[in-house]
Amino acid sequence: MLNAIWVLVRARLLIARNTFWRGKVRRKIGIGLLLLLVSAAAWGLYNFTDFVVRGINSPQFATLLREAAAQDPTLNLPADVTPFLQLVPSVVLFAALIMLVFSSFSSVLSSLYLAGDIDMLLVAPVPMRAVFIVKFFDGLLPQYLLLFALLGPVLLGYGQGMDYGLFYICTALLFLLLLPLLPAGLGALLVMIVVRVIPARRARDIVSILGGLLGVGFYVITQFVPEVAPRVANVQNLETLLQLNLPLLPSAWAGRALTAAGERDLPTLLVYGGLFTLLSLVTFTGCLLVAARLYYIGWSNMAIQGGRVRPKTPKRGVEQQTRPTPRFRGAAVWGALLPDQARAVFLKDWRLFPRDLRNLQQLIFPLALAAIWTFRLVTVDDTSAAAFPGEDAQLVRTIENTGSAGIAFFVCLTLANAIAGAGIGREGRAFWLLKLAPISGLHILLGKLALAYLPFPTVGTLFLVLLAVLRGATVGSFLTGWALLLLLGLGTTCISLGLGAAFPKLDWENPQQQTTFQAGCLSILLYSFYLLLVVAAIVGLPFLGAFLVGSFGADPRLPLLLTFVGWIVGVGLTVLAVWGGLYLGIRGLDRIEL
Amino acid sequence: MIGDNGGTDPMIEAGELQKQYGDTLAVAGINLAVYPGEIVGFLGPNGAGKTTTIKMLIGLLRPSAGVARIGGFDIQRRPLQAKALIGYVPDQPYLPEKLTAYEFLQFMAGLYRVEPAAAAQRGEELLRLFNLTERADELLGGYSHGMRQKAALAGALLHNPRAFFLDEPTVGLDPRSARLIKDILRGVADRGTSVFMSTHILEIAERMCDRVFIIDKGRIIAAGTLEELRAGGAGSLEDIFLELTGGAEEAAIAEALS
Repeated sequence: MLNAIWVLVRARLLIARNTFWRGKVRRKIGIGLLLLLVSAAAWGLYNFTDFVVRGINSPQFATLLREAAAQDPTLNLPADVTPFLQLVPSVVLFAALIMLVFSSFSSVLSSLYLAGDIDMLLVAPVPMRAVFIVKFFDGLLPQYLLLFALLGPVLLGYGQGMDYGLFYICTALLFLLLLPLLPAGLGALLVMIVVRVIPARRARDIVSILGGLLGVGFYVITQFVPEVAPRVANVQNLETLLQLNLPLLPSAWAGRALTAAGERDLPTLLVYGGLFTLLSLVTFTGCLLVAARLYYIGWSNMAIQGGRVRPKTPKRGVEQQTRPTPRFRGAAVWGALLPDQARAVFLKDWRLFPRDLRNLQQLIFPLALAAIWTFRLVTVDDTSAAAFPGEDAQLVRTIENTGSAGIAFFVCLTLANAIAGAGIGREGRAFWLLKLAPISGLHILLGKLALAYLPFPTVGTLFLVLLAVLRGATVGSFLTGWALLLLLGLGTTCISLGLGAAFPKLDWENPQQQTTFQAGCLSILLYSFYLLLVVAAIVGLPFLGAFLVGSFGADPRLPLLLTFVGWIVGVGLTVLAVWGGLYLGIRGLDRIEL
Repeated sequence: MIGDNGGTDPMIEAGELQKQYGDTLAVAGINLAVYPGEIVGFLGPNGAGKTTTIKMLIGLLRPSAGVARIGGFDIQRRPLQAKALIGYVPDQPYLPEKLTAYEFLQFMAGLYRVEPAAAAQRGEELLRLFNLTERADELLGGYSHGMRQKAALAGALLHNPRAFFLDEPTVGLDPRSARLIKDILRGVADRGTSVFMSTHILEIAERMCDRVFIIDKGRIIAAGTLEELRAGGAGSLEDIFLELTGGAEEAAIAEALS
């Protein structure tokens, strides 16, 4: 088996070497820069941790703490911070373990079942366990990289700050190697069980959605930090942190063992370090023992799973399909505004988009954002304008109404960007169908634009109406905000769509890689610039007019004139953005060779 | 031009078609002409430039030099007119996985501007012909390779192409489906469509093709009807192919090794 493992590892190393050496110079430079950046971050983390730990450990800090405790005894400040400092490895390892638990399922799933070479390996005369071991650690590579680049410097910086020696460093490095075995082992077992029931690709989609929801949950929590933090961040709750060092958690075993290694407490190190090592190795060995059977069953199960059958109606033909179903009617009306071929592209995308769960995942975040902001608007009193007298109140109201359009715009922009940026990339290897068809690049992009722009007149309008009602906006200011929303939406969507088509990625395996780095970066730069100019023209010019009237006694009609000029400039810039975006996209589509 | 058909204009035409990748000349100045109603086989060893040539003819690749015309329209200068005449089935038919076969045909009808009622009728016929009707409500992602190939064929035939290109059309198909494709190709050719197909299966080329082009190292090294090629002395198409492409020496080595 060792020989088989070596053969597979060697092949993996050769692939990595060839990918790097035979890759483009641009890619090599990128990797070099990334390495430099990561090294700098690691170095910074190491020094920062060292600095903080030394500071907390210093006699001066202890004196400060004593003085603070003496001044206000009700604070119940601890006299000795040593127990908290000794807690650091356990807390850090606990956090890392939790992250690994959440990420290991998806990474192990991808490497064990969704790698391109699995079929070849599993039919080769190679022991199943050798394939499992190589794929298992292959899936763990990103985790190891993160652990050694981010957690490693923290642990080593902590050891340096505590004046621990070489023995601590060796133990820390060993534990970093062992740490992912437990969560990834459990994750692998779970994966092997799950793929017996659910197709691996479907499982990945579901995990992506759950991951997205987890991220949204985390974001929601951070949004309420100002309310929650003062209640949580106090000395009493600091004591509860000590529970993370209870010897029931594997992370606490590793943390205690690390501290013991630093303090040369060999019995403690042997007990807790031994427990942690044993548990990690037993879990991994357990996986290995069952892998020979479960892994193969899961893989063979994948091979026989067919596609999902859509609800079938008797005698249903293409003719009936062309008639819009109730769910499809709205899209048909919107699509009717398009030329024939663009409508075909739009209707195809309209059907495909919601069928892929991974596409929907991209929409979770902006929708959650919209929900949070709405909740905040509902719960927070609108008194800011009332606090200002006369004309100032009007000014504040104008800013608030523009802000409403801004919030609605940001939500829609996030939605539209997710759809537009990957509009062409989403076609993937099936792009040949469009390239071969007698359809112009403009019509392809129009079809894509129809779907990507949809959030603005739908979600954006609804959100704006809600904000207008909550803030008691006038019809005039609502219409102004709405027009601004639709205008900016058109410009930004065309920029994203055009750059996505100019720098497409069609050979993706993972749908999260449908857009290229160039398209993403350039889109943000260009539409930020466009937004700045349009907002400056439409919002800034009238303010300038009001300022000139108020401060320099200019003609009172000047603000109105500048409002008019601002809109003309804004529309002009949007026409330019639409033309430029589509032009870039059409040129990009022409360049694509398959 | 290679090939002549009296006064009829060629449906598929290539003039000094070239494709260069860096220092490698993948296709080195190909000239060919295929006339309406002809079935032409495009043969050659692996890496000879067959797929590259087909992709340049249909506009998926831009030629480094030369011209490709479909129905008289330059595929690079008047792509929409030329593409409206083309049907193409690749060897690996990547299709939108989350569409059903019905929806896929509907999408193709929209792209090729086939009138909905006609598309519906023809779609039904094609699905029935390829034995896909029962599974036409299933997502294409769940289809086997052969079924995808058949779905791609149905999509490519929906608009009645005048120039039909197939890259290894029988790969992954069971004998029954392979036979069906042969019959279909003969049928569309009889209705005046030019069929241009690359294949490694010489038996298919021998039985189906009116003319054969043999390409090696990016150049057409032989062209004509089977009778014309046999005039050189060799017996079967396999013999002609091996003799022209140097495969005879490799066959001798293989025999010696065995």
